[in-house]
Amino acid sequence: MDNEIRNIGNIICYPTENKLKKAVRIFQSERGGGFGTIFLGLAAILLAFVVFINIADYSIFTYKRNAISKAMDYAVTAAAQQINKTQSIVGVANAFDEDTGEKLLEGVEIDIDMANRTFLTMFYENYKPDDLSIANNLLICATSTMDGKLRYSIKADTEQKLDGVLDNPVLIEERINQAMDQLWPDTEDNSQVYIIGNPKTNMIENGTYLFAYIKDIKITGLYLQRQISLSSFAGAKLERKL
Amino acid sequence: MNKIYAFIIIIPLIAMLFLKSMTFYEFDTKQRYIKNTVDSVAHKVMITGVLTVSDKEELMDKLRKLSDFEDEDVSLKCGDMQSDGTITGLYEYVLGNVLDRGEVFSIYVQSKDESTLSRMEGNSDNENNKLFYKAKAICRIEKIQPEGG
Repeated sequence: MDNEIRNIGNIICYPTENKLKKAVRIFQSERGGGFGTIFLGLAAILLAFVVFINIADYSIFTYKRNAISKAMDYAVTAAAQQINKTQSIVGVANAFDEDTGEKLLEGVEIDIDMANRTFLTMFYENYKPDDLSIANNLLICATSTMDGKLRYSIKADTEQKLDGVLDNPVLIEERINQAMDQLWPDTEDNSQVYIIGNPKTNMIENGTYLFAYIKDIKITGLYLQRQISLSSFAGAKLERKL
Repeated sequence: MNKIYAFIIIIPLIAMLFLKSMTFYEFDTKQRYIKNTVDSVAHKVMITGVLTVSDKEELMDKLRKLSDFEDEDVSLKCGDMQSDGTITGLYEYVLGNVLDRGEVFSIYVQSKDESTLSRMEGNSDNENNKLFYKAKAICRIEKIQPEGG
């Protein structure tokens, strides 16, 4: 009888509704109600426990992610200072415009190998993970200006290196994304780097900059492992000494 | 009567879960605040190259609002970055000293007492398992020298 759909007047009673009514009657009865209360109570506690564990897991994940992000900021700022003086244009004769007397900051190169090493040192000093190695997930891109063009050098996976020249600094975003596809063709993460908001808010202008990107790092919270990519960016803050 | 037994079991369980949640929330929030405070100090030194006495007092005031911190619980160090990109031989930083561009500044704080979460979890028996509020930041000074660096 319980499994049949009954039509009483205009009200249709479904089998599940009958079972629900029975269950409510059992809980309302004076006899045996304790087990119902225990069952419902334990179910509520279990639900609250699962929610608590998930919140704690996500909380630990976000703490670690923020710490890694901050460590990247410190690392990229430190690495951007690794200027290669032998490759850069130095000396008072080359440092100023002959006609206007303005300081020239062209031709100041970042030593990308040293920058890579400094980045890793600074990163690990700030964030010492037990189960995280970023050396093979790190891409760094150093830029400099020469004759009004943007020179770039991209280094990834500690060994691979790409160099080139761009007519317009706006093109660097596309070049970095191409390099990522080229260097990590089998990656699961399809995230792209966005530097350019629009031509007026392009963060990279002709100058000496360092850009760092960590791809597909796995961060474990309390029990779940999540995969993320993070990026950071710094200018070399150059000046000329007299 | 059975319902009374049921509540005897369930209410303590709910109370325990609630307390655990509260202590975890307290630890997580305070730890985040302490890390942010330390990062703010490191960032300030990174840009200006100096940590003054008043900056340290301000830092201590903020830390003491969150947990028990004494002067000796804050370690300030500085030094040079080696030519191979490593950091070795950091020494004590004297408040007010102006660091040069490229030098390294390190700050590490650890609370005197272990956190409530640690005490509640029963980690106090083993010194290594105690959970303190602590945060660390190491940065490289990037200020531009006044004489034109």
